[in-house]
Amino acid sequence: MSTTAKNLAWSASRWALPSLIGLLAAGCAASGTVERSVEDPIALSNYGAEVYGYSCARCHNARAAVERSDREWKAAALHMRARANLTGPQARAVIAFLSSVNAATTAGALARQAPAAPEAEEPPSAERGKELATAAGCAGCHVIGGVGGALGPSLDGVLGRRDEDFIRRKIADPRFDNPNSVMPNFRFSAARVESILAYLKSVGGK
Amino acid sequence: MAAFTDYARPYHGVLHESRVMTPRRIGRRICIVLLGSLALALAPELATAQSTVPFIDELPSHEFLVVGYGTAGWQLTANGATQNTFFGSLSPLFLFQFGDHFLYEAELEFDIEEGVTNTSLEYAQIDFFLNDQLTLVAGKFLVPFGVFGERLHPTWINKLPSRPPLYGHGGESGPQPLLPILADFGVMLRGSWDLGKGKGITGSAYVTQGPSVEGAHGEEEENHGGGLIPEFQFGEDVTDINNDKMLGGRLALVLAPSFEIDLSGFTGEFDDDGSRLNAYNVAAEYRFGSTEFRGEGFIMRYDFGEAEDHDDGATDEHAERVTAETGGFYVQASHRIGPWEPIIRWTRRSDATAATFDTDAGYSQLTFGLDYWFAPSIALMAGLELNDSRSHEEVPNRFVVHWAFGF
Ligand code: HEC
Ligand code: HEC
Repeated sequence: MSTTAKNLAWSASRWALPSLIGLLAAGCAASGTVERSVEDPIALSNYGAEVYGYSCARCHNARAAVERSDREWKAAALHMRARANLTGPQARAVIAFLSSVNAATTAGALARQAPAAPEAEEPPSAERGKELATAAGCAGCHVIGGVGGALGPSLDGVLGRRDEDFIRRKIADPRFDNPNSVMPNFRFSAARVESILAYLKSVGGK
Repeated sequence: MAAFTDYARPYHGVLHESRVMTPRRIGRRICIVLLGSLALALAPELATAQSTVPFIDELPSHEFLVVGYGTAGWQLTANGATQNTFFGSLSPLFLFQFGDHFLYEAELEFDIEEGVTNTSLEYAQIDFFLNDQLTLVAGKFLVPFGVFGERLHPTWINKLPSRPPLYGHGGESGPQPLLPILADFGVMLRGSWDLGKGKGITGSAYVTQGPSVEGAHGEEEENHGGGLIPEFQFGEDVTDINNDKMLGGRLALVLAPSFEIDLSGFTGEFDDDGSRLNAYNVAAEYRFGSTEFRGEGFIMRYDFGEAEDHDDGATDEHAERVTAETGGFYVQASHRIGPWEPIIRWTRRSDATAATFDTDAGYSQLTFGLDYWFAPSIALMAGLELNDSRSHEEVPNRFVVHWAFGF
């Protein structure tokens, strides 16, 4: 290193730290950063899916919701909040998302055990599919209709890449083609899978 | 000059106010701003919590969780004759979460080396979530210098079965790290600002015990290779050899969800003669689909205490200040194809005892790896280290296979 570079580095060390602290203090005083609505549970868990999509695979592979109970996730997510410098709203949203996935997957499993689950009878429709996809937070991990997360591939145009049967099987059992998949198994009934497929077609899935 | 020496304490640094004292002044300034921002952060919480105990929800949920990771492996070292060994270790991590504001985390490490079971306290820290932006950490924590130590060192996270031989803790097979920093005792303030759409700024600033020199005060210093650079220790000794604390911080700019740049550094005295170690690090990561690029590099600058005592007790003001610089970097690329993930890493650094980062005394390592992922945190990893040392330090090539299991 040349002398000038050395002196630069040395003087940088004098102001870098105080200004870092100053920044921390300033940020704290003016915490007018992005804050999402926490009232609507679906909006919160969709925001959580988005945060999960962009931050939970940054340092390590994303860990699947099924690995832990809601209570365990709260402890683990606070651990990650400290380790990954997440904000409070980001951490709370991730917890809400993982809990909603756990709820959806267990509720779905219970419903399937009941012989005549009423949901099995609902006629498949794109509108119903949209409701289901929104509640499940698919857009947290996938782009659908131009918006969404990047953890999974975009679902716009997925029908051009994959045949309908593949998509049906993937939604019904995300690990069928990839045992490491972190995409949650929502245990949708066959009718619900049809609805979601119809929705994907309706948003320019082709 | 005489008058000056009359007032001088035995501590040499004070004679060179203008240079040596500067970091201390910075330290004082930091403490003032730190306390100020803490007060600012706490004010709203305290104001709204008159009737109950501040920071404790009425019926806080709490959870005790044991997580961590285990590793089991085999290595082949080619050093003239080959040598192969099995190894294993367990790193349990205890989490105790209390309400929304408190988390206690402590990680132990167990391994067996030459028939002796080693146990160490990797870190043990209290995380106090002050508000949505700020977290106060106290105890022994992973120092946010660069990113490897704090974010990537667990074996199920590091994609290669070996660490870049730059920093981390010693005592492992393979080349010794240049800067054995992993965790240290102290306090840290961490902050984060969400700028939306996966962008954000995060910062960490800390005061810790700082570096000490192994084998205290010069006896062993000369022994390792006869070089100028002493062997450092961090977080090993709770009795600070000098009263000066190490100050440091890291600023992370998440410019896009898949692109991050980190700048970090610290400054701390390592002897009681005003000798100081300054280190700067730049790290970056970029992800594109299932391809990931990472790299970090650092420079260490040593300022050795220059004050030579004369027989008459005076100190030579004009003594030449001895400085030295060392450093290193690594760059890594990996690509995930189904359960397979090939990795390549290139590390380049100065020799452990050389005082300059020059090519002739340098050392480089090319590492090839292949992982097979059974689950997001379980993988079988193979790695081949090709070491090229141009100094007296002979570093054998290594082939390592291990199972990493994060739980
Ligand atoms: C800044 C890097 C980083 C990011 C981002 C990150 N993690 Fe981690 N994560 C780690 C490290 C490092 C460990 C290992 C901790 C140890 O063993 O010391 C870990 C461990 C875990 C574990 C194992 C249990 C535990 O608490 O140690 C889970 C589960 C986990 N992370 C989930 C997540 C989730 C969910 C997210 C997204 C909110 C996330 N991680 C984001 C670095 C990160
Ligand atoms: C937690 C993140 C996450 C959520 C939530 C999620 N997925 Fe996925 N999905 C993924 C990932 C990651 C992949 C690709 C890798 C894999 O798992 O095979 C994927 C793959 C897919 C594929 C295959 C695409 C292709 O080109 O191969 C389809 C179809 C799909 N998901 C549909 C959905 C639907 C519909 C929902 C909502 C009901 C959903 N996903 C929810 C993460 C997610």
